[in-house]
Amino acid sequence: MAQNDTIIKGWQPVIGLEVHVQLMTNTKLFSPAKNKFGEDANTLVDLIDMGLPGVLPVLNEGAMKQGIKFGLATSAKIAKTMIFDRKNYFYPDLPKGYQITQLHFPIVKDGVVDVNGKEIRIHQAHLEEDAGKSMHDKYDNKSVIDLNRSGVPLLEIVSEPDIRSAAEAVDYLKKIHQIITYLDISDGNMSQGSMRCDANISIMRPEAEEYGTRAEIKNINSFKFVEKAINFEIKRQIKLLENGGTVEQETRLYDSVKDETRSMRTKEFANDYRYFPCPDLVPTNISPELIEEVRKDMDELPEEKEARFRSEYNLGDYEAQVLCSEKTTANFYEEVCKVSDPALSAKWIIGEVNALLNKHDVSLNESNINTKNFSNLILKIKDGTISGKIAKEVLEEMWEEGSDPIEIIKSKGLEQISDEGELEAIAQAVIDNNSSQVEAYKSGKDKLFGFFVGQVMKETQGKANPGAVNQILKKLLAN
Amino acid sequence: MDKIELKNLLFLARISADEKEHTKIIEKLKNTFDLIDEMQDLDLSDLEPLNNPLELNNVSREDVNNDRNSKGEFLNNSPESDEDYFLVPKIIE
Repeated sequence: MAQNDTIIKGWQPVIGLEVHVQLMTNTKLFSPAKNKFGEDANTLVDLIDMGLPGVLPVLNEGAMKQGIKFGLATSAKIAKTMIFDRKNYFYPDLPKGYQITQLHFPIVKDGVVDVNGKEIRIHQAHLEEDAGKSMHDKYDNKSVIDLNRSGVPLLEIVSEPDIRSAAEAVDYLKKIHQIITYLDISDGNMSQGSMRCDANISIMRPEAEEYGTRAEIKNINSFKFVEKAINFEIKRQIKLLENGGTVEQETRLYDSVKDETRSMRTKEFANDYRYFPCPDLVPTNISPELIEEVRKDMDELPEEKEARFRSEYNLGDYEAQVLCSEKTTANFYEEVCKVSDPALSAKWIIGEVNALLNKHDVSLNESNINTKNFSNLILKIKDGTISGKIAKEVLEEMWEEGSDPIEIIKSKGLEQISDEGELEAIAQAVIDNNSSQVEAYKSGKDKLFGFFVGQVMKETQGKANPGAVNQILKKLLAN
Repeated sequence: MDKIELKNLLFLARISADEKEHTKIIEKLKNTFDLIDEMQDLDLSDLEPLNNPLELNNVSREDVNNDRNSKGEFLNNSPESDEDYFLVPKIIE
């Protein structure tokens, strides 16, 4: 079970993740109110979300189908019959005093995802409703409640404790993110809370047969914090155990400002949720016909898309994998390929475009680069109007201004000089002005060839066609 | 079931009960627990757990918006509100 490279100071971390994913339905899980982020407070609230006496929840078929989709995508068992339970606790953002969730008979059981060639098992995924939102800054002595989020459908995806390091936890989370965005069942936006993560962490000696006592870390809202929170917690537990202490089974909060986890004071928060089947909702049967209907409606999964990209666009494993890592990038690439060269487009997306996205930490959708202006850029590289070096400049300008590369090339006079006569004149002038280098080159200093190329590029502000320059210089210097 | 357990249960359910009533409540609860104990003694190994006594399949609805929001009315019906929010005692985090 233990993997040597994940052992820290003789301890094997054991990690399981609970990922809450907000489903992208039109309406809430049990009410017909709109499911939308960022609207005015308390404008997306139904009588059912208010928990008014006498109202009855009615299950949203859309949410059920999205849950089934996730199950199919992770080779899981879809329940023949699922049952909703009440989880009872009092908090002001939960008007009913209970959350409707699934405990023993969830919609999805026993799934599996491939993370870097290793299988991470999914224990279950269940449907439940989100709570409202409480805020504490508006008044000194009051908190305020917004119920727009109350009743928004969540799919809680619970992994088995198969994860062995913080880095692997991040990769698993990215995989889940990839699956849910490919399936179009969630936008997976962690900063807006549509994907949230709790981590169960324990440590054990590699030869031990039982897991150690685990602590649960709540409130982790970015990929970066998942890694940091888990690493902090592993170190904390190692220190504790090596100093003769014991790990308490408790819930801890991750504080990203201080980069530490803190106990939520076990006793005060000790919860006894008194789960029981929700009497308002009788057992829900899921028919094979419904599962088939969902299967037919399913979008291509990442692995399928990668395989198709390899054969259809003649890409290598690495290229296909990078292009398919996010659905938006894959769609962008396919759109560009309709008019542009697939190999060249792939090279530029994987290299220069990704570099810009990483540098500015934004997604392709949020950037000024679109399929139209990017296709034009590729066309201009392909037909030799601009060199690769100039193309980088043009891309930067597109990034900043969102303008069309054809306009940029025209207004800045960036067309590549391929005219042989013009280039030959410039090359001849370079040779005439650098007689000592010419002599050295001719006496065997081959490396100086690059110097001449550089000089011609300098004279033309980088606009000379590099292939043509090479040929002309070779010819002239051979004389 | 002792007094401490009862206090915890009352707290979880947010029910207030006078100390004087506690003995009576414990006695009633004990009757219920005895009944459960009796059931625990039965051999039910060949039965599926019953989650709902109704032999029905749940109905679902299409994922279509039906705006029944009435913000003003909802807020006015709550114990305390301002123009946008429900107000509750300060929750200390």
